[in-house]
Parts: sequence; structure tokens; C-alpha cells
Amino acid sequence: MKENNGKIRRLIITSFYIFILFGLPLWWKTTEVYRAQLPFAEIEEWSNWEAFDLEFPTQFIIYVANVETSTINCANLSSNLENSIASRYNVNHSKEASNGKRQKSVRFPVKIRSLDWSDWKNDLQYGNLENLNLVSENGQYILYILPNTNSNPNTKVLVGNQRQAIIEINQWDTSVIEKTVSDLIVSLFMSEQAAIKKFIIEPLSNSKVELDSMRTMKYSPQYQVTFSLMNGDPSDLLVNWDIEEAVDKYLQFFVNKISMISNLTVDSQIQHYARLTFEPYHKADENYFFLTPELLPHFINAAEWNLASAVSSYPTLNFILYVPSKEQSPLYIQDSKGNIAESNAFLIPRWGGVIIKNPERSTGIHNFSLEELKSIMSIFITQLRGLLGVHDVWTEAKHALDVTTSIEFVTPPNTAVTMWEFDSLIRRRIAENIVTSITTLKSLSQLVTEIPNMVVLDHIQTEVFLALDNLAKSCTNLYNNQYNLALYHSKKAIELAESAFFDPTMVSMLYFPDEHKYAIYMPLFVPISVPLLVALHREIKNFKINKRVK
Amino acid sequence: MSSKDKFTGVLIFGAAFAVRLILFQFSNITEILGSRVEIVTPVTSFTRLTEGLYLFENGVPPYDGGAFHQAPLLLAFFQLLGYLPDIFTKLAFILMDLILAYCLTDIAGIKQQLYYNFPKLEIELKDNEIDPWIVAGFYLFNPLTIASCLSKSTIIFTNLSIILGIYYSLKYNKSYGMFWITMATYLSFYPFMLILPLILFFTNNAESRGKNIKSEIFSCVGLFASWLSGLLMLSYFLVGSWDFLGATYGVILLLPDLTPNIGLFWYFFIEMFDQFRSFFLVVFQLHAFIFMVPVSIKFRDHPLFSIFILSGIMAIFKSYPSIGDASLYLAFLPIYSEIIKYMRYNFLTTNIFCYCSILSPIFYHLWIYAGSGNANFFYAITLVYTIGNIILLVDATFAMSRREFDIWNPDLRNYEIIQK
Repeated sequence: MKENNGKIRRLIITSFYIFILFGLPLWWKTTEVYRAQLPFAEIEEWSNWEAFDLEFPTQFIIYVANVETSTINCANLSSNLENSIASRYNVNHSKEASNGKRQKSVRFPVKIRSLDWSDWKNDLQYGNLENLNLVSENGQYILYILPNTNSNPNTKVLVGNQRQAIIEINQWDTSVIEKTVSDLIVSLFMSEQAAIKKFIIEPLSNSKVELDSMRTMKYSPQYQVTFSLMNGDPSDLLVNWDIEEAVDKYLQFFVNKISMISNLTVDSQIQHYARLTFEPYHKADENYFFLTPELLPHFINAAEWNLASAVSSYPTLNFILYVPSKEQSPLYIQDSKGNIAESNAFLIPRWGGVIIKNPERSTGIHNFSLEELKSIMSIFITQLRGLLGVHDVWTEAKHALDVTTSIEFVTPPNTAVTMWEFDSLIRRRIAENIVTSITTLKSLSQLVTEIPNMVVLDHIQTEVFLALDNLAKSCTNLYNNQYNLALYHSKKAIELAESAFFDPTMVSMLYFPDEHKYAIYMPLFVPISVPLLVALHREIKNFKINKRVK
Repeated sequence: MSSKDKFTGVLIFGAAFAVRLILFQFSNITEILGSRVEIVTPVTSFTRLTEGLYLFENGVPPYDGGAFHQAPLLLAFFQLLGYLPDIFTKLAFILMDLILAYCLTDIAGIKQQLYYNFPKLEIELKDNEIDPWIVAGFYLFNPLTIASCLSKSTIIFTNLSIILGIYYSLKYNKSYGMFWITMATYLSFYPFMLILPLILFFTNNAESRGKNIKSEIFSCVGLFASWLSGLLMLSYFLVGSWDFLGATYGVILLLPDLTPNIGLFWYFFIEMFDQFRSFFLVVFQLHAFIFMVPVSIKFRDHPLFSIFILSGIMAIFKSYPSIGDASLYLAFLPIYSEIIKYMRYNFLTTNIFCYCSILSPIFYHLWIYAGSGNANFFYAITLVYTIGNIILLVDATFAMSRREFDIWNPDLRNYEIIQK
């Protein structure tokens, strides 16, 4: 009986331990930190710029008018131009290379094809660009060169709003043509290239604060554009506006055009009792109120004006049409020299724009009609261009060209953006997206390497692979002059990289040291294991005693 | 049975029937009980069953709604009941309770015959055995049973299957016994652990019945496996897909629904770090099953007692326990009425049950409706309830062991036993 009891007891204890043994592999399986393998080496290659060369190729087709008096060798012209432009592009480039750091290769190859333009007189009445050949590809431009027909001695350049320009040369001579064309091309592209190089070579440099990059919003595939009509005091003036028609009529073309880069969703609101937080200065003798540049940063009453968008999680661009209250009107903006700004508007970098209007308040009610809104919307669109990073080609080009050349630009069509500008924006955004995606992926790989407890699920791995794939595709597309595809892939790359980086499963375990694990295991397992261990110990002791007795 | 016995039985069953039928007439009582978290759980709720039934009858896969987690055969049963007037659903629940109680009386009777030749304590020789009708009475008039029945909790199907499984096993009807325990496993998974003591019913007396122990074990396991695959196939043909596996056993095992109940799981897994969730699920589920083998070995001569202990463990450590589970295992206690004199904490456990019955609704109200308490209030009560159950089980185990010891060692009866 006694013998039997001991056997039964041992059997019972063994059955507990068998269960625990059965649980051990499950313990291992259920607490392992799942880490899908990320392509660290590949990310490293990208971030060191070993994996790719960025190229932003441009191609020019030059139609040279066939003038009887002198003949110009088209083939020579092309090769000479290519050489001179390439050498001028590379001035900066070689300087960068000399500072000893690793060369990040970004190139801007130029291809030029010159063609003889025989019946130019029939094709062209000066200023009538519509009849000329057009190109539909980003990165391809057509220049038409013809002798100056006017009495004006200066060389005249007309840059169209499609991808073409007409150059009237004052002296019909190969070297003059060469110089003018190369000047023009360099002046049109130089600032863009400088910006791209800056992006790529020193993406995080804060040494020189650049106005451009401060003003432009961080890239997002979608922005929320909010138009707000702010009424200072509705008790003496009620305002309304025909914003829907105005947006349809003036803004919609721009929205459609830019949608290739970022989608814009537009909404509007009217807010009453939108008071300023400060008193504007009063000019007693002329009886008006004014704001100085120092006051402008305080203009937005962030606490009370309900401008935060609840509609979407995308970045918001705010445009405010402000109507001051009776006690503060008319309200103007003065520049630092004390002159009243003509537009009465200002731009807030990376935030939006503000226009102040002082409407007629005798009737006690004012409706901003479609006609009135036209000028307002044109200011808003200018501000929107700045915020989205559309650069005025002409202001930059005018500075770069030599004084004897007069340059004119065809005004943008109702899309508010010319093809030159649009192409330039696309190229900048591609460069920015590629650089940002690489930086994000690099941060991700650093984070994963540094924190061994971090869970990396399969979908993160997939996203990283897809992001790298899209980066590679984007670079190949750039190389092949397919800018639209390159933009598409760079957008994809940045979206994937960011969704991987900000994935909630990544952040849940950011900090989980080993001592936490003890705190989790101890309260349950110590009480459970004590009786089991004691029982085991006693059995072993009995076993030894029995052995000795025998 | 004598005519007096029969009279007692009719009285008890008639009164139990009447009480239930009358209480069923108060629809507000049944509604309140049907929504109490202590009584119905996501896997036994009649409301959820109605939802699943509605989807099923309208040609929508019943598990698509994500609210219904019960076995497909229940759908078929209630669809058939649906053709009858509403009162028949209530009658079905009452009837099942009565059948269960009637089986209990038979089980008690068979048990008393089985133990007839067992040695007894001297003082027990004079006493009469407990009247089996009283055993049924204890079950039928247990407030937990009545509440569970009135709430139309489908746990009654599991309980009835378990009892029928025991009943037929005690009658050595192997295929029926295995069928009903398979049915219970099929309905709520945990009764699987009762298969060991049931097999012991067959093996313990195998030789005297002229059977081979090994072949008994194999035939039991074989019957269990074939019944189970049969039931699962039937369910598959009923709902047309295997979705029900994830929606029923998946829910029981993986605990996606953290509705509060009187168990230990919900609070723990609300607070759990996600990283460790799967690990502790494994630990908790293994913990429920870890007692299956040791208890069966320890009480290998008393399989019915093993069933009592194991169904108690089930009622405490399953993922979605309700008072219906407790009512089942408490029904076994009167069958073993001879151990009650050895139990030391009867007063304590009785008080704990009363205490929990009163405070649990109050604390739940404070937490959910009044907002003056938090989840810890209700969880504290579930802990107390669990402790009460555990004390009762430990006490019963002790009493059983001590009684057996005293029977075999009558001279040591007056000594206290100390574990060293």
C-alpha cells in the first residue's frame, strides 16, 4: 500500500512536469520577438549613394531659321552648345567634389539637337506661339531662333507657357547664337539645379537659412486648402462671399494641374467675431490703422480662431480674407519703410496667406462678388504657388541674363502655372522625395538595429522592399527622361517608407527592458513553481534514501 | 422506490417546474437575468444566439456578424423550436433542467449502489444514505441554477450533455456515454477534460465485467474521435463552411471578446502587454487543463469525484465562466454528502457565495452605470468568488482524502494529519 502510494504520488508529480514541458516550446514560440529581415545592406547602400546615380536629363531641340545670308552648321552648333552648357553646369559641381567628402553624384546631362528651319517666315508671326510644334514630355524643350526683324537692337527672348521659347537674335552670327542660347538655358535651369543639389548634397544643413525651403510646405501627397472669411465684428457689417464659384472659376484649373504632384481638397468657412489679439497702430492724421511687419507674426489669433482642420489628417493650408471691425478700419499693412503695401496681403511660411480687405460698410452688409474675388483669388493663388514650391522662372532668369538681352514671358494660362514652372516643380519634388525616402529608411534601419526588442512584422518588411523598389524605379525613370513616372514612383517610395516608419506595431515596443520581463513573469510563476519544486525536491530525497536502504 | 419516495420526487419536480414557469412569466426578470454578465457570457448568451439565428434564417452566414459564438447544432435546434409558439422555448429550458435533475437522482442512486460494498466509517453505518430526490432538489432549487435557467443561458446544453454522459457511462453504455461527453466538448470545449474520469468508469470494473482494459480505453477514445468528427462534419454541412471553428473554439481559446464575467481572464487580458498576450493565453488555458491528469490519478477509484473536482476547476478557470458552470459542479456535492462532515470551511464558503451574489451586481452597477467605481471593484468580487470556489474544492479534496485515510486507518482517526 505504502509503496503504491509513493508510486502514485510520483506519477502525479510527473504529470504536472510533463504538462510544463509541453508548455515550454509554446513559451518560446509565443514570446519570441518577431523580426522580419530588413534589407539593411541595401538601405545602407542607398544612404551612402552607392546604389544609384541621380540624373536629371534635359533635351533641347533648336530650330534655327534658314537665313540666306549666312549658313550655320547645325551639327557644330549642337555639339558646341552641349559642351559649353555642360562646362557651365559643372563649375559648381567640381567645387563640391574638391572638399574631400564622398561625391554624391547628381548630374544634369544636356542633349541638343539643332534642326534647320526653312519656312520659318510662314510658320511664325512673331508672338504667335500656338502654331509652332510643341513637345509633351517633361524635360524636352524647343527653342526657335530667328533673326531680329525689328529695329530694336537688343536680343529678344520670349518664353512661352508651354515648353518652348523664341529667340530673336540681333546679330546673326554663330558665336552670338551660341552664347545667347547657352545663357538662356543656364539662366532658366541654374536655380533649380542649385536647389536640387542642395537637397541631395546637404539635406539636413541648417547653416544657411534658405527662404525658399522655409516657405514651402513639407511634401505630402495631399493637402487640405481652407479658405476662411474672417469677420471682425458682424454687429455693424455682415459679410458673405461667392467662394464656391470663385474656386470653380479661378482655382480649379490650378488644382487639376497640380494634382499630379499633390491632391488639393478645398473647403471654406466664414467666421464671425474674429478679433485681433492686439491693437493695430493708428495713424491719426490720415485716419487709418496699420500693421507693421513686426506685428504680422501675431496676426493669427490661434487660440480663438478655429482653424485646425478636423476633416483630414493631411497638412492644411489656410487662406484668410480678413475684414476688420469698424473700430479698426480701414486697416493696412505697412512695410518697414512706412509705405502701405499695395496688395494688403502677406504670406505666412508653411502655413498659408492672409489678405485684409476694407469693404464699403455703409449698407451694413457686404457680399464679395465673383468679380471682387478675382483679384483676391489671384493673390491667394500666388501665395499657394509659393507654399507648394512653384518657383517663378522669370524672376530667377531675369537676374541671370545679361542686360542686353530682353526677356519676356508669356503670362501663365488659367492654370496659373506654366509648363516650365511645373516641370521644374516636378523635378524638385522628385529629388526631395527620393532624399526624404532614403533618410526615412535609414532612420528605420538604425532604429531596428539599435532596439533588439522591436517587433518587425512582415508587412513592414514588404513596405521597405517596395519602397526600395520604387526608389530604384524612380531613378531609372529619371535616367530615361520619364519624369512623370519618376514622380509617381518617388511618391510611392516616400509613402511606403513613412507608413513603415510610423506603423503602430513598430512603436509599441520601443522601450521594453529586461527587468520588465521579470516583473511580468514573477508574480505568476514563482507561486506556481514553489510547490512543484518542493515536491520534486522531496521525491529526489526519498529516492536517495530508498536507494541507500536497499 | 416506495410510493413515499415517488411522492417526494413529484413534489420536488413539480415545485421546481412551477417556480420556473411562474418566473418565466415576468419578462422583466428574464430580461434582466439574460443581460447579467455573471449569468450569461458571450459564448452562452441567448441574445447572441437569437442574432445568429436571425442571420442563419435569412441566408447570411451566422458567424459573419462577429457576435455569435455558439455551436451550429444549437442553431438547428432553435430553428426547429422557432416553428413552435414562444412558450416552447421556455418549456425546453425548464425541461432540460428537470431532465438533468432526474439524471442526477439516477446518478446518485447508482453511486450509492457502487459504494455499497465499499468500507465505511463506523458512524456512517447507522445513517441512511442521502435520498436521491434530495440531490435533485439541491440542484433544482439552487438559486444559481434557477437564475441560469431563467436567463436562457445555453450553458444548460453543455451541463445536460455532461450529466447524460456520466449517466450512460455509469450504466456502462459506452457509445451513448461517449456521445454525450463528445457533445459537451463540441458545445463548449472544456468538458474534454472529463473524458479521463469517464474512461475510468469503464476501466475500473472492466475485469469484473469480463473486458480488457486496453480495448476499453481504445474503444472509448475511438468513439470519442468518431463522434466528434461526426458532429463537426454535421455542423459543416449545416452552415456550409468551417468558419464556425474559429468563431466558437477560436473565441473560447483566444479570447477576443473581453466582456467582463466572473472569471479571471477578462481583466488580466485587458491589462496585458500585447507582446505577452499570446504567451499568457497559452499559460491560462494550459492551467485549466493541467489538473486533468493528476486529479484523475489521485481519485482513480472515485471517477465521479474526479468529475466533481474537474467540473469545479472548469467553472473557475475556463475563459468564459458563468454561474451556470458553478451550478453544475455544486450539484455533485450532495451526492458525496458523506464527506461534508470532514469539510472545515463550510461556513466560510457559504458566506462567500452570499457575499458575491449581493456585491457583484452592486459593484458592477457602480462601475458601469453609476461611474463611481472602476473595473477593479468588479474584478475584486470575481476574485473573491474564485477564491470561494477554490476553497470549496480544496476542502472537498481534503475531506475525501481524509475520509479514505480514516477508513483504511481507523486507529489514527483522532490524530491530526500534518504534511511535513
